Amino acid sequence: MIKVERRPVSDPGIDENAKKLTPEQIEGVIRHVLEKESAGRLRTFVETCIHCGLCSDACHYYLAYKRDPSYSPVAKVRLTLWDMIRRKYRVDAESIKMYARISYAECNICKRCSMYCPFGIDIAYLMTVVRRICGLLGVVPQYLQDQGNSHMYTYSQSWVPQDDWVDTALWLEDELRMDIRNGRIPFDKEGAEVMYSPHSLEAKFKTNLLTNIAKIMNVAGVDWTMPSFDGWDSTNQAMHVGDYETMGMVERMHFEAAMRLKVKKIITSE
Amino acid sequence: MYDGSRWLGWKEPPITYLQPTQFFYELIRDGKLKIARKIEGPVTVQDPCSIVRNRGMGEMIRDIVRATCEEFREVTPKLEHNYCCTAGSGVINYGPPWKFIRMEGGKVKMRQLQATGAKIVIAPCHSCHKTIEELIHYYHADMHVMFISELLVQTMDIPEALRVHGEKQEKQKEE
Repeated sequence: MIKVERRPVSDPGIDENAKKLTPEQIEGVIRHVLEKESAGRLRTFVETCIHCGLCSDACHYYLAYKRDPSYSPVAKVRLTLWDMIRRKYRVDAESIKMYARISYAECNICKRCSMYCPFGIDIAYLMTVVRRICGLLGVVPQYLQDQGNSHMYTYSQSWVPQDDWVDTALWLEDELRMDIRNGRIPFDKEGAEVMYSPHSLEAKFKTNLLTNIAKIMNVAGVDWTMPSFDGWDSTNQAMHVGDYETMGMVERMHFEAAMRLKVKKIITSE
Repeated sequence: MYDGSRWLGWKEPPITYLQPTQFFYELIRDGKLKIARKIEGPVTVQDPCSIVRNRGMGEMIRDIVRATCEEFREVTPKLEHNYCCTAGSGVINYGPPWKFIRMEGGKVKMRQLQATGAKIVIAPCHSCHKTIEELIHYYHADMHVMFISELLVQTMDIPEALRVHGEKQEKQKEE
Protein backbone atom coordinates (compact mmCIF):
# COMPACT_ATOMS: atom_id res chain seq x y z
CA MET A 1 0.00 0.00 0.00
CA ILE A 2 1.23 3.49 -0.76
CA LYS A 3 2.05 5.63 2.27
CA VAL A 4 0.12 8.89 2.09
CA GLU A 5 1.35 11.73 4.29
CA ARG A 6 -0.41 15.07 3.87
CA ARG A 7 -0.57 18.34 5.76
CA PRO A 8 -4.11 18.65 7.17
CA VAL A 9 -6.14 21.42 5.52
CA SER A 10 -9.44 22.65 6.88
CA ASP A 11 -11.78 23.54 4.05
CA PRO A 12 -15.47 23.71 5.06
CA GLY A 13 -16.56 22.74 1.55
CA ILE A 14 -14.86 19.38 1.99
CA ASP A 15 -14.98 18.75 5.77
CA GLU A 16 -18.52 19.90 6.57
CA ASN A 17 -20.16 18.49 3.46
CA ALA A 18 -18.50 15.10 3.95
CA LYS A 19 -20.23 14.82 7.36
CA LYS A 20 -23.65 14.86 5.69
CA LEU A 21 -22.98 11.92 3.38
CA THR A 22 -24.79 8.59 3.80
CA PRO A 23 -23.33 5.24 2.64
CA GLU A 24 -26.25 4.69 0.19
CA GLN A 25 -25.70 8.12 -1.37
CA ILE A 26 -21.98 7.48 -1.89
CA GLU A 27 -22.54 4.06 -3.41
CA GLY A 28 -25.33 5.37 -5.66
CA VAL A 29 -23.30 8.29 -7.02
CA ILE A 30 -20.19 6.19 -7.70
CA ARG A 31 -22.29 3.51 -9.41
CA HIS A 32 -24.05 6.16 -11.53
CA VAL A 33 -20.81 7.86 -12.66
CA LEU A 34 -18.74 4.73 -13.27
CA GLU A 35 -21.43 2.57 -14.85
CA LYS A 36 -23.80 5.02 -16.56
CA GLU A 37 -21.70 8.07 -17.52
CA SER A 38 -18.27 6.68 -18.34
CA ALA A 39 -18.36 3.46 -20.27
CA GLY A 40 -15.69 1.85 -22.47
CA ARG A 41 -13.02 4.52 -22.19
CA LEU A 42 -12.78 4.32 -18.41
CA ARG A 43 -12.75 0.52 -18.39
CA THR A 44 -9.99 0.38 -21.02
CA PHE A 45 -7.84 2.87 -19.15
CA VAL A 46 -8.26 1.15 -15.79
CA GLU A 47 -7.60 -2.32 -17.22
CA THR A 48 -4.67 -1.32 -19.47
CA CYS A 49 -2.49 0.41 -16.86
CA ILE A 50 0.38 -1.86 -15.75
CA HIS A 51 1.65 0.46 -12.93
CA CYS A 52 5.00 1.03 -14.68
CA GLY A 53 5.30 4.52 -13.18
CA LEU A 54 6.73 6.20 -16.30
CA CYS A 55 4.21 8.98 -15.76
CA SER A 56 5.77 9.90 -12.38
CA ASP A 57 8.55 12.17 -13.64
CA ALA A 58 6.02 14.10 -15.73
CA CYS A 59 4.15 15.39 -12.69
CA HIS A 60 5.34 18.68 -11.20
CA TYR A 61 3.87 17.77 -7.79
CA TYR A 62 5.90 14.53 -7.75
CA LEU A 63 9.08 16.48 -8.57
CA ALA A 64 8.35 19.33 -6.14
CA TYR A 65 7.59 16.98 -3.23
CA LYS A 66 10.98 15.24 -3.49
CA ARG A 67 9.72 12.31 -5.56
CA ASP A 68 7.18 11.19 -2.98
CA PRO A 69 5.54 8.19 -4.72
CA SER A 70 2.08 9.11 -3.45
CA TYR A 71 2.16 12.21 -5.69
CA SER A 72 2.83 10.31 -8.89
CA PRO A 73 -0.08 10.20 -11.38
CA VAL A 74 -0.43 6.44 -11.22
CA ALA A 75 -0.67 6.59 -7.43
CA LYS A 76 -3.37 9.24 -7.65
CA VAL A 77 -5.47 6.94 -9.84
CA ARG A 78 -4.73 3.99 -7.61
CA LEU A 79 -5.72 5.87 -4.44
CA THR A 80 -9.00 7.07 -5.96
CA LEU A 81 -10.62 5.12 -8.81
CA TRP A 82 -9.01 1.75 -8.17
CA ASP A 83 -9.78 2.10 -4.48
CA MET A 84 -13.48 2.61 -5.25
CA ILE A 85 -13.57 -0.29 -7.69
CA ARG A 86 -11.69 -2.64 -5.40
CA ARG A 87 -14.06 -1.89 -2.51
CA LYS A 88 -17.11 -2.35 -4.77
CA TYR A 89 -18.18 1.31 -4.37
CA ARG A 90 -18.78 0.85 -0.61
CA VAL A 91 -16.46 3.58 0.69
CA ASP A 92 -16.77 5.84 3.72
CA ALA A 93 -16.87 9.64 3.94
CA GLU A 94 -13.18 9.80 4.98
CA SER A 95 -12.20 8.18 1.67
CA ILE A 96 -14.35 10.65 -0.25
CA LYS A 97 -12.46 13.48 1.50
CA MET A 98 -9.19 11.95 0.37
CA TYR A 99 -10.46 11.53 -3.20
CA ALA A 100 -11.53 15.18 -3.22
CA ARG A 101 -8.14 16.33 -2.01
CA ILE A 102 -6.23 14.25 -4.56
CA SER A 103 -8.42 15.04 -7.55
CA TYR A 104 -9.11 18.74 -6.84
CA ALA A 105 -5.91 19.95 -5.23
CA GLU A 106 -3.12 17.60 -6.24
CA CYS A 107 -3.82 17.36 -9.95
CA ASN A 108 -3.99 20.27 -12.38
CA ILE A 109 -5.44 18.17 -15.23
CA CYS A 110 -2.47 19.49 -17.25
CA LYS A 111 -2.20 16.22 -19.26
CA ARG A 112 1.59 16.19 -19.16
CA CYS A 113 1.56 12.64 -17.73
CA SER A 114 -0.54 11.36 -20.65
CA MET A 115 2.28 12.35 -22.99
CA TYR A 116 4.71 9.99 -21.24
CA CYS A 117 2.36 7.04 -20.77
CA PRO A 118 3.47 4.18 -23.08
CA PHE A 119 -0.18 3.25 -23.62
CA GLY A 120 -1.42 6.83 -24.01
CA ILE A 121 -3.76 6.56 -21.05
CA ASP A 122 -5.50 9.86 -20.43
CA ILE A 123 -4.85 10.13 -16.69
CA ALA A 124 -6.26 13.65 -16.58
CA TYR A 125 -9.58 12.26 -17.78
CA LEU A 126 -9.56 9.72 -14.93
CA MET A 127 -9.08 12.59 -12.47
CA THR A 128 -12.05 14.45 -13.97
CA VAL A 129 -14.15 11.32 -13.39
CA VAL A 130 -13.15 11.43 -9.70
CA ARG A 131 -13.98 15.15 -9.63
CA ARG A 132 -17.37 14.38 -11.12
CA ILE A 133 -18.08 11.92 -8.29
CA CYS A 134 -16.97 14.39 -5.60
CA GLY A 135 -18.86 17.21 -7.33
CA LEU A 136 -22.12 15.25 -7.37
CA LEU A 137 -21.62 14.42 -3.68
CA GLY A 138 -21.01 18.11 -2.95
CA VAL A 139 -17.54 17.53 -1.47
CA VAL A 140 -15.79 20.42 -3.23
CA PRO A 141 -13.34 23.14 -2.06
CA GLN A 142 -15.58 25.92 -0.81
CA TYR A 143 -14.18 28.75 -2.96
CA LEU A 144 -14.54 26.69 -6.12
CA GLN A 145 -18.11 25.69 -5.32
CA ASP A 146 -18.89 29.36 -4.67
CA GLN A 147 -17.83 30.19 -8.22
CA GLY A 148 -19.86 27.29 -9.56
CA ASN A 149 -22.85 28.76 -7.71
CA SER A 150 -22.06 32.17 -9.17
CA HIS A 151 -22.37 30.67 -12.65
CA MET A 152 -25.80 29.31 -11.76
CA TYR A 153 -26.98 32.61 -10.35
CA THR A 154 -25.38 35.38 -12.43
CA TYR A 155 -23.93 33.47 -15.45
CA SER A 156 -20.53 34.90 -14.56
CA GLN A 157 -17.70 33.50 -12.49
CA SER A 158 -17.31 36.17 -9.83
CA TRP A 159 -20.82 37.37 -8.97
CA VAL A 160 -20.94 40.15 -11.58
CA PRO A 161 -24.60 40.56 -12.57
CA GLN A 162 -25.60 41.77 -16.03
CA ASP A 163 -26.33 45.39 -15.00
CA ASP A 164 -22.91 45.71 -13.33
CA TRP A 165 -21.28 44.39 -16.46
CA VAL A 166 -22.87 47.04 -18.69
CA ASP A 167 -22.09 49.78 -16.18
CA THR A 168 -18.43 48.72 -15.94
CA ALA A 169 -17.97 48.66 -19.71
CA LEU A 170 -19.52 52.13 -20.01
CA TRP A 171 -17.07 53.78 -17.62
CA LEU A 172 -14.24 51.85 -19.21
CA GLU A 173 -15.21 53.41 -22.53
CA ASP A 174 -14.92 56.86 -20.91
CA GLU A 175 -11.42 56.00 -19.70
CA LEU A 176 -10.46 54.53 -23.05
CA ARG A 177 -11.03 57.93 -24.66
CA MET A 178 -8.20 59.38 -22.56
CA ASP A 179 -5.82 57.24 -24.62
CA ILE A 180 -7.59 56.62 -27.93
CA ARG A 181 -9.45 59.43 -29.66
CA ASN A 182 -13.14 58.51 -30.13
CA GLY A 183 -12.42 54.99 -28.85
CA ARG A 184 -15.46 52.72 -28.69
CA ILE A 185 -16.56 49.66 -26.74
CA PRO A 186 -19.48 48.64 -28.96
CA PHE A 187 -22.32 46.63 -27.40
CA ASP A 188 -24.76 44.38 -29.28
CA LYS A 189 -23.57 45.23 -32.78
CA GLU A 190 -25.41 42.74 -34.96
CA GLY A 191 -23.42 41.03 -37.71
CA ALA A 192 -20.02 42.12 -36.39
CA GLU A 193 -16.92 40.17 -37.37
CA VAL A 194 -15.77 39.34 -33.85
CA MET A 195 -17.42 38.91 -30.45
CA TYR A 196 -14.98 39.40 -27.61
CA SER A 197 -15.98 37.57 -24.47
CA PRO A 198 -14.00 38.56 -21.40
CA HIS A 199 -12.97 36.76 -18.23
CA SER A 200 -15.30 37.96 -15.49
CA LEU A 201 -12.32 39.36 -13.56
CA GLU A 202 -11.99 41.87 -16.40
CA ALA A 203 -15.34 43.26 -15.29
CA LYS A 204 -14.39 43.28 -11.62
CA PHE A 205 -10.76 43.55 -10.43
CA LYS A 206 -8.64 43.68 -13.56
CA THR A 207 -10.58 46.14 -15.70
CA ASN A 208 -7.37 47.49 -17.24
CA LEU A 209 -7.16 44.26 -19.22
CA LEU A 210 -10.47 44.98 -20.90
CA THR A 211 -9.24 48.50 -21.68
CA ASN A 212 -6.12 46.96 -23.24
CA ILE A 213 -8.24 44.74 -25.47
CA ALA A 214 -10.38 47.72 -26.46
CA LYS A 215 -7.24 49.68 -27.37
CA ILE A 216 -5.93 46.86 -29.56
CA MET A 217 -9.30 46.40 -31.28
CA ASN A 218 -9.63 50.13 -31.96
CA VAL A 219 -6.07 50.54 -33.23
CA ALA A 220 -6.23 47.43 -35.43
CA GLY A 221 -9.61 48.54 -36.78
CA VAL A 222 -11.39 45.29 -35.92
CA ASP A 223 -15.17 45.13 -36.38
CA TRP A 224 -15.95 43.87 -32.86
CA THR A 225 -18.72 43.75 -30.29
CA MET A 226 -19.66 42.35 -26.88
CA PRO A 227 -23.07 41.17 -25.63
CA SER A 228 -24.80 43.41 -23.09
CA PHE A 229 -26.91 40.42 -22.01
CA ASP A 230 -25.99 37.24 -20.13
CA GLY A 231 -23.53 34.95 -21.85
CA TRP A 232 -20.70 37.52 -22.00
CA ASP A 233 -18.40 35.66 -19.62
CA SER A 234 -16.04 33.15 -21.25
CA THR A 235 -15.08 31.28 -18.07
CA ASN A 236 -16.63 28.08 -16.85
CA GLN A 237 -15.74 27.03 -13.31
CA ALA A 238 -18.63 24.56 -13.16
CA MET A 239 -16.53 22.35 -15.44
CA HIS A 240 -13.81 22.18 -12.77
CA VAL A 241 -16.35 21.43 -10.02
CA GLY A 242 -17.58 18.40 -11.94
CA ASP A 243 -21.04 19.95 -12.22
CA TYR A 244 -21.52 19.23 -15.92
CA GLU A 245 -25.20 20.24 -15.94
CA THR A 246 -24.27 23.83 -15.04
CA MET A 247 -21.28 23.66 -17.37
CA GLY A 248 -23.57 22.79 -20.29
CA MET A 249 -25.96 25.60 -19.39
CA VAL A 250 -23.16 28.19 -19.22
CA GLU A 251 -21.68 27.06 -22.51
CA ARG A 252 -25.04 27.10 -24.27
CA MET A 253 -25.70 30.66 -22.97
CA HIS A 254 -22.34 31.67 -24.33
CA PHE A 255 -22.85 30.31 -27.85
CA GLU A 256 -26.44 31.53 -27.97
CA ALA A 257 -25.26 35.05 -27.22
CA ALA A 258 -22.95 34.81 -30.24
CA MET A 259 -25.76 33.42 -32.41
CA ARG A 260 -28.07 36.24 -31.34
CA LEU A 261 -25.46 38.81 -32.40
CA LYS A 262 -24.82 36.91 -35.68
CA VAL A 263 -21.03 37.24 -35.29
CA LYS A 264 -18.52 35.28 -37.37
CA LYS A 265 -16.19 34.27 -34.56
CA ILE A 266 -15.72 34.45 -30.82
CA ILE A 267 -12.46 35.61 -29.20
CA THR A 268 -12.10 34.58 -25.58
CA SER A 269 -10.00 36.18 -22.91
CA GLU A 270 -6.37 35.15 -22.43
CA MET B 1 -15.34 14.92 -20.76
CA TYR B 2 -13.38 18.12 -21.20
CA ASP B 3 -15.70 20.67 -22.72
CA GLY B 4 -19.32 21.58 -22.80
CA SER B 5 -19.76 21.24 -26.54
CA ARG B 6 -19.76 17.49 -26.43
CA TRP B 7 -21.86 17.43 -23.26
CA LEU B 8 -24.46 19.45 -25.22
CA GLY B 9 -24.27 16.95 -28.09
CA TRP B 10 -22.31 19.16 -30.50
CA LYS B 11 -19.37 17.52 -32.22
CA GLU B 12 -17.62 20.87 -32.66
CA PRO B 13 -18.44 24.33 -31.25
CA PRO B 14 -21.13 25.92 -33.49
CA ILE B 15 -19.14 29.14 -34.07
CA THR B 16 -15.41 29.55 -34.73
CA TYR B 17 -13.78 29.93 -31.37
CA LEU B 18 -10.38 31.62 -31.27
CA GLN B 19 -7.97 32.00 -28.41
CA PRO B 20 -6.66 35.59 -28.23
CA THR B 21 -3.09 34.37 -28.81
CA GLN B 22 -4.06 33.21 -32.29
CA PHE B 23 -6.09 36.37 -32.91
CA PHE B 24 -3.17 38.65 -31.93
CA TYR B 25 -0.78 36.52 -33.98
CA GLU B 26 -2.99 36.97 -37.04
CA LEU B 27 -3.29 40.73 -36.43
CA ILE B 28 0.51 41.09 -36.43
CA ARG B 29 1.01 38.66 -39.33
CA ASP B 30 -1.55 40.47 -41.50
CA GLY B 31 -0.03 43.86 -40.72
CA LYS B 32 -3.16 45.24 -39.02
CA LEU B 33 -1.17 45.96 -35.90
CA LYS B 34 2.20 47.63 -36.39
CA ILE B 35 4.92 47.34 -33.77
CA ALA B 36 6.63 50.68 -33.10
CA ARG B 37 9.08 49.84 -30.30
CA LYS B 38 10.49 46.77 -28.56
CA ILE B 39 10.52 45.77 -24.89
CA GLU B 40 14.03 45.86 -23.41
CA GLY B 41 15.64 43.13 -21.33
CA PRO B 42 15.51 39.33 -21.44
CA VAL B 43 12.01 37.87 -21.81
CA THR B 44 10.79 34.29 -21.43
CA VAL B 45 7.41 32.61 -21.85
CA GLN B 46 5.04 30.29 -20.02
CA ASP B 47 3.19 27.70 -22.12
CA PRO B 48 -0.36 27.45 -20.73
CA CYS B 49 -1.62 23.84 -20.92
CA SER B 50 -4.97 24.92 -22.32
CA ILE B 51 -3.59 26.59 -25.43
CA VAL B 52 -0.22 24.88 -25.93
CA ARG B 53 -0.58 21.23 -24.94
CA ASN B 54 -4.21 21.08 -25.99
CA ARG B 55 -4.25 23.44 -28.99
CA GLY B 56 -0.61 23.70 -30.12
CA MET B 57 -0.13 27.48 -30.12
CA GLY B 58 3.35 27.53 -28.58
CA GLU B 59 5.09 28.85 -31.69
CA MET B 60 2.50 31.64 -32.05
CA ILE B 61 3.33 32.91 -28.55
CA ARG B 62 7.04 32.84 -29.42
CA ASP B 63 6.50 34.64 -32.72
CA ILE B 64 4.60 37.44 -30.96
CA VAL B 65 7.31 37.70 -28.30
CA ARG B 66 10.10 37.81 -30.92
CA ALA B 67 8.22 40.54 -32.77
CA THR B 68 7.75 42.72 -29.67
CA CYS B 69 10.80 42.06 -27.46
CA GLU B 70 14.51 42.54 -27.99
CA GLU B 71 15.76 39.40 -26.32
CA PHE B 72 13.81 36.14 -26.07
CA ARG B 73 15.09 33.32 -23.89
CA GLU B 74 13.75 29.80 -24.39
CA VAL B 75 12.68 27.66 -21.43
CA THR B 76 13.54 23.98 -20.97
CA PRO B 77 11.44 21.86 -21.27
CA LYS B 78 9.50 23.87 -23.80
CA LEU B 79 6.24 23.85 -25.78
CA GLU B 80 3.97 20.87 -25.08
CA HIS B 81 6.58 19.41 -22.73
CA ASN B 82 6.55 22.48 -20.50
CA TYR B 83 5.46 22.18 -16.87
CA CYS B 84 2.06 23.32 -15.68
CA CYS B 85 2.01 26.51 -13.57
CA THR B 86 0.31 24.58 -10.70
CA ALA B 87 -2.88 26.62 -10.96
CA GLY B 88 -4.68 24.94 -13.81
CA SER B 89 -8.20 23.52 -13.73
CA GLY B 90 -9.48 25.86 -11.07
CA VAL B 91 -6.73 25.33 -8.47
CA ILE B 92 -6.07 29.07 -8.65
CA ASN B 93 -9.56 29.66 -7.23
CA TYR B 94 -9.36 27.49 -4.10
CA GLY B 95 -8.52 30.44 -1.87
CA PRO B 96 -6.23 30.84 1.15
CA PRO B 97 -6.55 27.30 2.61
CA TRP B 98 -4.94 25.83 -0.50
CA LYS B 99 -2.40 28.49 -1.40
CA PHE B 100 0.47 26.42 0.03
CA ILE B 101 -0.09 23.64 -2.50
CA ARG B 102 0.41 26.03 -5.41
CA MET B 103 3.49 27.60 -3.83
CA GLU B 104 5.15 24.27 -2.96
CA GLY B 105 4.16 22.56 -6.19
CA GLY B 106 5.33 25.58 -8.18
CA LYS B 107 8.93 25.09 -7.08
CA VAL B 108 9.63 23.23 -10.34
CA LYS B 109 8.12 26.00 -12.45
CA MET B 110 10.02 28.70 -10.58
CA ARG B 111 13.39 26.94 -10.89
CA GLN B 112 12.79 26.52 -14.61
CA LEU B 113 11.95 30.21 -15.08
CA GLN B 114 14.87 31.41 -12.95
CA ALA B 115 17.28 29.27 -14.98
CA THR B 116 16.53 31.40 -18.05
CA GLY B 117 17.66 34.57 -16.27
CA ALA B 118 14.75 36.49 -17.79
CA LYS B 119 13.24 39.57 -16.12
CA ILE B 120 9.82 39.36 -17.79
CA VAL B 121 7.60 36.29 -18.15
CA ILE B 122 4.87 36.32 -20.79
CA ALA B 123 1.92 34.25 -19.55
CA PRO B 124 -1.11 34.35 -21.87
CA CYS B 125 -3.52 32.80 -19.35
CA HIS B 126 -5.23 34.28 -16.29
CA SER B 127 -4.40 31.30 -14.05
CA CYS B 128 -0.74 31.12 -15.08
CA HIS B 129 -0.37 34.89 -14.82
CA LYS B 130 -1.69 35.16 -11.28
CA THR B 131 0.06 32.14 -9.87
CA ILE B 132 3.46 32.96 -11.38
CA GLU B 133 3.14 36.44 -9.90
CA GLU B 134 2.49 34.88 -6.48
CA LEU B 135 5.37 32.45 -6.97
CA ILE B 136 7.70 35.37 -7.71
CA HIS B 137 6.74 37.00 -4.40
CA TYR B 138 6.98 33.71 -2.51
CA TYR B 139 10.46 32.83 -3.84
CA HIS B 140 11.71 36.48 -3.89
CA ALA B 141 12.60 36.37 -7.57
CA ASP B 142 13.42 39.46 -9.59
CA MET B 143 10.85 39.14 -12.37
CA HIS B 144 7.44 40.24 -13.40
CA VAL B 145 4.64 38.75 -15.45
CA MET B 146 2.80 40.21 -18.44
CA PHE B 147 -0.12 39.26 -20.65
CA ILE B 148 0.28 39.37 -24.44
CA SER B 149 -2.32 42.16 -24.57
CA GLU B 150 -0.21 44.25 -22.17
CA LEU B 151 2.81 43.60 -24.34
CA LEU B 152 1.00 44.75 -27.47
CA VAL B 153 -0.45 47.89 -25.86
CA GLN B 154 3.04 48.94 -24.78
CA THR B 155 4.68 48.30 -28.14
CA MET B 156 2.06 48.95 -30.82
CA ASP B 157 2.05 51.96 -33.09
CA ILE B 158 -1.02 54.18 -32.53
CA PRO B 159 -1.88 56.05 -35.75
CA GLU B 160 -1.82 59.86 -35.62
CA ALA B 161 -5.60 60.09 -36.08
CA LEU B 162 -6.29 58.05 -32.93
CA ARG B 163 -3.76 59.75 -30.65
CA VAL B 164 -4.92 61.94 -27.75
CA HIS B 165 -1.85 62.13 -25.53
CA GLY B 166 0.59 63.41 -28.12
CA GLU B 167 -1.20 66.73 -28.54
CA LYS B 168 -1.74 67.26 -24.82
CA GLN B 169 1.91 66.69 -23.98
CA GLU B 170 2.96 69.03 -26.76
CA LYS B 171 0.66 71.73 -25.43
CA GLN B 172 2.08 71.27 -21.93
CA LYS B 173 5.58 71.62 -23.31
CA GLU B 174 4.65 74.84 -25.11
CA GLU B 175 3.15 76.27 -21.96
